[in-house]
Amino acid sequence: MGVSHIPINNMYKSRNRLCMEFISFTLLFFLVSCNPIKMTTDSESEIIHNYQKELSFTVVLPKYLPKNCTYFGAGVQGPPIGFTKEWFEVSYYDPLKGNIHINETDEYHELVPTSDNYSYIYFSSVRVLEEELVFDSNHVHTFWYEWNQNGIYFLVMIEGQSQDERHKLVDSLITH
Amino acid sequence: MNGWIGKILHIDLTNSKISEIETQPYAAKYLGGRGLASRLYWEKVTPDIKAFDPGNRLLFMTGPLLATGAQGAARMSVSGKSPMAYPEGYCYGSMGGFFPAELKKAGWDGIVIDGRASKPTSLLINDVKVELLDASALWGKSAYTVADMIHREYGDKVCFATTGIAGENLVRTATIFGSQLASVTAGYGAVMASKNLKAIIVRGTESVQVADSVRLKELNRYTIKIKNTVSLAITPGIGGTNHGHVLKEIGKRHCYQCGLTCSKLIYRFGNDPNMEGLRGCQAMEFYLPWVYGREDEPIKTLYDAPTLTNDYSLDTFELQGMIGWLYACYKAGVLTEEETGLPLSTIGTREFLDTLLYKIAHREGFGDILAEGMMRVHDKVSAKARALFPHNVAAIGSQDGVPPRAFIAHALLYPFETRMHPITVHEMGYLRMPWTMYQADPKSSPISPESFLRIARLFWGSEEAADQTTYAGKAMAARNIQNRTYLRDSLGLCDFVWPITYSYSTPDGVGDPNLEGEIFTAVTGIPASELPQYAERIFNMQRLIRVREGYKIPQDDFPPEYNFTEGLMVSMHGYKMIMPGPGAQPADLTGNKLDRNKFIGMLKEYYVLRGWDEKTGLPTKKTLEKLGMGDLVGVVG
Repeated sequence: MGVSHIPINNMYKSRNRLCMEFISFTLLFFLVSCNPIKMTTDSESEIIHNYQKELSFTVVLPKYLPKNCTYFGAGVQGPPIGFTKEWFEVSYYDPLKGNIHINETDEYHELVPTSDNYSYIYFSSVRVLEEELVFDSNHVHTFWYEWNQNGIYFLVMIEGQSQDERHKLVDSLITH
Repeated sequence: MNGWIGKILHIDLTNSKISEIETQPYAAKYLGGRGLASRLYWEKVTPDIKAFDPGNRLLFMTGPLLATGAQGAARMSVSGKSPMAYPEGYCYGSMGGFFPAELKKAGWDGIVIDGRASKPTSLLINDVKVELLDASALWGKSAYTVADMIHREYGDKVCFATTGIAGENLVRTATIFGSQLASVTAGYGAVMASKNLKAIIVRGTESVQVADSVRLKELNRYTIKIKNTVSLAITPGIGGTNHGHVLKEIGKRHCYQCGLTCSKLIYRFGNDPNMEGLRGCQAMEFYLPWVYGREDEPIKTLYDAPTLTNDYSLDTFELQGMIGWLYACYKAGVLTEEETGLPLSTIGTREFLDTLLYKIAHREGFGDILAEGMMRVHDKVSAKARALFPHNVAAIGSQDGVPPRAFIAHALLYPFETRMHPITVHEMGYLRMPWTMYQADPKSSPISPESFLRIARLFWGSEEAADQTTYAGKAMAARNIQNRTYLRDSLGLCDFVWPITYSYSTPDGVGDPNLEGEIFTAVTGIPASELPQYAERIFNMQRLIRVREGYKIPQDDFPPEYNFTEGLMVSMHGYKMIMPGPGAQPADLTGNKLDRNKFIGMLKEYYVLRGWDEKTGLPTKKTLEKLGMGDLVGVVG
């Protein structure tokens, strides 16, 4: 087979070299592998700008950011949890644009809980569905918040953080 | 019917007849999408029918998960006899964006198009109201012009599918071009035009019924969370030329209802606000001036290249290999500007691209030969020019991206597919990247050798499947990967998302092999335990179609000969082919060849797993009857 087993240190001299190995391996391999893009914060304003061109409402970002968090696209990038840097993401559905969905995932936009671990909480007069989802098979644990305000459907995912921090963050997305 | 609408639109262009086909009898056995289309193809498109004959069928078929809110479920299968395949034969493409969902929301699980209209025609679907319209005004127009005309006439909310000048001139590689820059390969643009069908316009306003919407919502949340994988800021071809700095991502796009991020991004080129647009994947880098030493070429050439190609409705995969080959031929003195009429000395410039696209799309001069597609060009040029062809491993020409000599199971994946690039090779191909990253820096990826082995066991059937230095476990891995892919194509799921083999969001980095099944059950109410049976049925249907069309067993089940005779090369940068070996530890497969005897053993093992006769390679009577396909016993072979 022409196969040998060699220490990994002998294969790659540097991370850059590894990247070149990636790129050169085959073109097609990578063309199908270029999945989620982690955009840099300096392009954040341009991302918002681009969204804004297509939406009928002003893109809303949280006014409150927990410690060590930065804006990141239409969401927030926070302290890494494992390999995950994005622990917060906000999605919108714009009813006036019909088929324009910004990270929107649900067909019906109804505040229906999916498990027993939920409650409805109020920020000012806005009713927010708070739901804790735990998937035992993969030990995945997330909090989800949903609400409608001014005809816009909001969906927010938060991983980790205390309840107080989560609530402050959600509250800061709501127009009072 | 939760998940399905219940009816398929049937258009007979020859007789201007519009009717319906009941979905259920077909979906009960073949689900939807690629599976359902394969059965409808089998029933009508006999081997004597050519791709451009009125007797060929053009099938647009959605799946039960499309437009239900399920994540990564916006795809539609397009199939029929492909003029791009060599020889012509059954093939398939896939379309994303919003057109497929709009069709389903209009009240149709798919469209079957038969016959040929007597004059240019367009198909207007406004929910259940369907009309055939005179499209003389659209004929002769490029794809973007047609799109503009459609939106002016019918408004911004309609979705469309059309083909440009290349399709009209029956260029064998012509694409179907659709809303949100969607496109379909395999030459179906030319098939569409051969039927005098210039455009399909659709507007749908209904919803699709779901069995358990609450469970689906929960699964969507889970999917969003665990679909967290390796990211690249720019496509690798551009990155490899060290010109990545000319691009800046300024936004992203999604297909219908999908909240996941893929390669559909909005870029700004050269920091010029006038050069912003949706780009993605291979199409944005099929023509890189720098590859041809054109360092001074304006960035606008790169920006415009996919738009120009879409406008003619040509295939960027095909063009990429073709331009590389032309360049090699020119450099070697095998092809000249005089004999081709192409400005070969200017490859890499806008001038060259403009000329090449025009000549192919209009079938002018040497462009008429190139319009036949690379597989047929191969037979029409000199031996010296043929010698410079890239290796091809499927009936539609393109290079093997994830080679069998590095991924042993792929030796069984390439031959069994009718199209290039076969998406079955993505599952293992995707996973190599985070594994390699871990080897370089364990902090950069969760895919340790232990995680890789666990993924191999869960998704491919054994830990042995992970080891690319042995043939053990590869037959089962190939079978499992094929079945999952065929289900995905039949359900309407997206290749960029599914399966989720690994995740940056799970503690051990391992994805979830059961998620598609759970979503299927939430949408349709049908137990996920029935899916393997569907997969086997669909796979056998394709096997029978191919055999009926002249596929030879066992010789056509072998990958091309060079896999057995030529060692796997190092990369273009001279780096070794490092792959998972024993225990998923790194092994150097540089110079590796396939072992013929071991491959034959693996193939026999595969036949047995499929329930095929070990000698004939055909599904046995017992297998077909077990799958409820008794009507197909003895019809081929």
